[in-house]
Amino acid sequence: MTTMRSMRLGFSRIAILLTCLTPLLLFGQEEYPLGRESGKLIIDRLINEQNIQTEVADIVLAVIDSSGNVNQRELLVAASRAERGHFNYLIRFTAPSDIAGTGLISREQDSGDIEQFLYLPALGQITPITGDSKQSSFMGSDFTYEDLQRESTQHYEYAYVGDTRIGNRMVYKVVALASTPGRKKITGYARRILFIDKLNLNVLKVEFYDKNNVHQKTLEAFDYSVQESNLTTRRPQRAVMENHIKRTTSILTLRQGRTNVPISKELFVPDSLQIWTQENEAQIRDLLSFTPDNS
Amino acid sequence: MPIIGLVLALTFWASTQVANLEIEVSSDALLSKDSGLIREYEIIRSQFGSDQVVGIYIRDDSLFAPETLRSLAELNRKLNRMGKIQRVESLFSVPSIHRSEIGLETGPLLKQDAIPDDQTYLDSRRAMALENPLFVRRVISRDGNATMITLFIKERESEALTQGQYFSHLHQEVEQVLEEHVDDFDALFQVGSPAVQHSIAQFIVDDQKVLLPIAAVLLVVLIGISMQSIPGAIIPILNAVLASSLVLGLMAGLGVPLNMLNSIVPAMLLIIGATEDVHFLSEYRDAINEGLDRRQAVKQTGVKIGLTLVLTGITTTLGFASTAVADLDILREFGITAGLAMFIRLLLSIAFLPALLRFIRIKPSRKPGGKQRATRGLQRYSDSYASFALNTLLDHKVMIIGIMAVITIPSLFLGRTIHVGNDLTGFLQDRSPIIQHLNQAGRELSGSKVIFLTIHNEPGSFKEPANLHMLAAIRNRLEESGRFDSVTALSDHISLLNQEFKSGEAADFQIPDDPALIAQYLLFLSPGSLQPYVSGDFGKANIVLRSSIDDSREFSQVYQQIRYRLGTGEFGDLNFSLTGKSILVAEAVDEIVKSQVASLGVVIVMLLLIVATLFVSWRASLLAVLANLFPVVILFGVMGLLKIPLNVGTCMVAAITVGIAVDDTLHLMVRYNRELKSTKDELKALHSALAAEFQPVMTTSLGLAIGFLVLSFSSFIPIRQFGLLSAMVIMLAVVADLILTPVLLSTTRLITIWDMIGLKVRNALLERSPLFEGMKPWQAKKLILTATIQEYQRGDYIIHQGEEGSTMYVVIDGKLSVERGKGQTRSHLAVLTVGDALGEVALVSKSKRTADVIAKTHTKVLALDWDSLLSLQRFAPYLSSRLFLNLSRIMGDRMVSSLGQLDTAAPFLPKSEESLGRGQKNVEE
Repeated sequence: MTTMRSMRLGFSRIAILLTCLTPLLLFGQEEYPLGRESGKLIIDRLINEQNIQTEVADIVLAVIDSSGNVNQRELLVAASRAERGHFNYLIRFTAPSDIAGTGLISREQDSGDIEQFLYLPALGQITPITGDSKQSSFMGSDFTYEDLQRESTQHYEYAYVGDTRIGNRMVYKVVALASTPGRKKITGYARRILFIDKLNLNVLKVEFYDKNNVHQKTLEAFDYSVQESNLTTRRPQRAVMENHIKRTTSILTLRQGRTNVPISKELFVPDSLQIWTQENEAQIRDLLSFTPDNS
Repeated sequence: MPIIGLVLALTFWASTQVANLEIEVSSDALLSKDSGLIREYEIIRSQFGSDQVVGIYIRDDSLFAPETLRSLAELNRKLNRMGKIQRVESLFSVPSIHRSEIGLETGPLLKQDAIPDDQTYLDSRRAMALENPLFVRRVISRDGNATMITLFIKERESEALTQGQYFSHLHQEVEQVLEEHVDDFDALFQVGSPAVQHSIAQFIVDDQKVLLPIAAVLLVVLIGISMQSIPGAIIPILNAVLASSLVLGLMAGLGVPLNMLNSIVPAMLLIIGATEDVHFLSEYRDAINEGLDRRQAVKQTGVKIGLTLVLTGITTTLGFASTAVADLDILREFGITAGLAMFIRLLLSIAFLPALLRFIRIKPSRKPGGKQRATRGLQRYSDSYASFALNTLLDHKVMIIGIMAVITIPSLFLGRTIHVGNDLTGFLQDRSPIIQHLNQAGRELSGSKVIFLTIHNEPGSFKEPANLHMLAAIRNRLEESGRFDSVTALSDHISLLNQEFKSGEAADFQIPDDPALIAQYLLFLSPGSLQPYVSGDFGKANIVLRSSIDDSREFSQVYQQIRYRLGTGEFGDLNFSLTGKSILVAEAVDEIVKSQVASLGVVIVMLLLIVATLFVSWRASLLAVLANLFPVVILFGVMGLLKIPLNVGTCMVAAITVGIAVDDTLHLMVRYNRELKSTKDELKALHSALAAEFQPVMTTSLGLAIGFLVLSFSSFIPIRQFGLLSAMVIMLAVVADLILTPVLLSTTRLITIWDMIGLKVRNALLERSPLFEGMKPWQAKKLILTATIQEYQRGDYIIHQGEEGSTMYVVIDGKLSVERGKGQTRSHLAVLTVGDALGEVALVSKSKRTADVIAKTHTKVLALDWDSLLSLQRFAPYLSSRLFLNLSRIMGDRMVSSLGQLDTAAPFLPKSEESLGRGQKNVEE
């Protein structure tokens, strides 16, 4: 008698444990039917997960040409959400010495265009860059400015087309197509295919198809980790863009990064490029080690 | 019958294969394979991208109107989608950078997906393009109404397609796209290697439709007139057609494609094969005229001229096949194809033709007992010429040879001025559409010939201002030369960035002196945009030159000038390379010269060997070759005088025509040898040979010359030049054969290897006769054949008692009886057999014969007098020296024998002329 009661109790504990654990096990790994609506849902979730106000990063950008020659540059990046959800970016090269001090400010516009200001320290002047820059190369790399932008369900249509596996990760396969006339005009791609980790919505891979539907580039992201300042925002430590047409590769390595840190709006004013001081750099480097505790 | 059946079966098989015959036109066929230049080219190409382009030329008076630009954008989009294209340069892809009031505008000049309706805006884009040095003549003409979309062709990834097929497919794909837009613009066409190769392939097909029918008709007429017989005219054509089918079928079966050169092989078969077969048919008809039936006539013809036909077939085959020693694919393929074709034709002529003649009747050309008037007339001319040659030419041998030398020597000097050309576009006439398109595109935009001038330095060097200044200086110097349609270098991109970043004024179009500024400018450019101009480590800078020079000699001169200029140190101590497919083709001219020398050398050496073997005499072989080199030297002189280049067409003329022209010389020599055997007199033999061969030599040479002239209807310039020059050489060879050859032949006596093999010489002769002591059997045979042989029937007198004699004899075959006296006092003194000599003393002094020498059986004796000894000395100096030595020994033995007889009672007779003569006779006997 005593044994059977003990067993019943044992089974009950197991049942409770399983009941508690099940939601945790199933967290993030939602199942969707195939189609556009599901694709939007997935991307909306992803955007919400990545919803940040500001970000700073210390990045190494390596560009490898078809002969294996490596050009390595170090840069500081700052991003800040402005009005109407647009983002402003500041990029400042810190190495090698011949390009140290080169700066670029990019400000997203309502039209979808990007307003840019370039500062070349050797020239000593700020030059506004106009024209279609979305398809332009980001600082001589295989990334374009379009590649670095966040996903947007306002400008793109997303269709969930199925699941696949990358390594030991199950991923959603989502096709992104420019959906607005404005975006169709300026995008450099006929479509992109995103491979999104089912468990944590990390974008593990993106395939880029040009206007001739030729598989032009592949971006792979590795070593996702959370930012100390924001335990829900994950960033890959390394992003590799491979250009299959030109046979070149660009690698972004994140040395340090923080999100939702207090960044002065003054940094995104074009004039700041010319009057950049050591204090400005120090400010950003300080932000790189920012934690909510020491704010 | 089995032979006919076999040939027809093979021909049927061959014709089923012909449909698979590919046409392969590629500039790769003009390249030398094992070349350091090719390796260098491949390295540079792998680093800086393709130099092979297709240019799409578009002209429209309203090029920048919205609708026109939208059509252009659509065209650009379709071309971009083509899988064989590595990259595209167009108004929609070449990055533009321009300083405006609001800032620096970057990106393509026009967006192919968004052409606005705003004409003012579009006009401003046009103006912007015309101000940009990287646009003008690359993607837009100076007047702004023409543009070029340049497609850089990807290297073929699979060997399943040849280069020619790859380009052919690409050309077709582009044409399909252009056809959809032909009404959208005032002018739209493609240029570049695929277009040129396509045109050439088309011309190859068109040529066959023209050359073959003309050649066939001409030959039917010529041969028909000569043979006075329709079957006689058609049979050679049929033979040539069968040979052509077999060759083309074999080519298809073996995967050998048709190209610009070997496409003339069917026409050559018609021309050469038919004229060769005329010899056979003429002899055959002569045999029919004699009343023989077909079988007997074929047999007799074979016996009479079979050897000569085989020899001439071999020399002709050799002349063509010698081209195969070349390093260039196009020449090698021609040599193999044409050599094979001529060999097959030879086989058909010696096997199929005789078999056919057993069944096809050629009517006799004359009634029994009569002669055709035309034949009689021609024979009169032949006889007249033969008499002229003997009476006039041979009396002025030195003058004749001197005149030939006087004509030849200037030709040798003129020949040194011949320039060499090797260019695919050089095959085409200026008025052909593709050449006109190339010229138009080259005038207004850029030519499709790309040269890479690569300056090699240390990694990072071309971020340094000093090196970029140097690069700009070289670039500017090349542009100032005026030889290139466009010159683009890394320095242009950096200078443009400098200009637009600073002020937008032309004064700032220069390299900045601050290396940091240069490094910062370079951030602005994507890795791919600079790939054609600088290596990834900035250690090599590549200047891209575009040209529309279509003359390989001029191209080569430009190439040499660049090398010279860069090597003078004007720009420092440079390490550079200059390459591109066009350079490889232009530099392959050396291979054309080498192949000219090699093929002619091979033909000459082989001819020397063949003729020396045939006539057992190096002298005879030199004679044959020299007589036929005379027209070749004149050929080079004419080429130098008229500035006709040595190219893949004209470099074949010498070897091929020597191989053909020597046929007539061989006919003449064989006939001379035959006449000599019966007449025993060089002059008479020469006269007979000339009289017999004059008409056939004239007829066949005229036929060949006219046949070669048919090639002047070809679409290809080198083929036309080949045809005209070959016709000229053939006619000059006739002059040489009828003037020079008789002069040279009169200085020699010919025997053939068949004579040597046919002459049976008993071992007893060689063993017994002291005249042949120390000679090998073949030397003895040669001596016998070269000397005078007399034949006697049983009962004939060789020597009469009492007659004066100056000749010694050696019995070669038979028996002789030495007898003396008359009637009852007649006594038999001796029997002479093989090897016995008689009358040696008469050789050195005239004396009366003391006995009769009578043939007891059919006898052959070698007859030697002083004149014949002197002749022998000329014809066979080594043998004659051996002969003199042996004669000296014979005389010496006689003297010893005579001295031995002095040891007698009356050793010396009274001294008187008679007694001296009798004494000598005693010694002699």
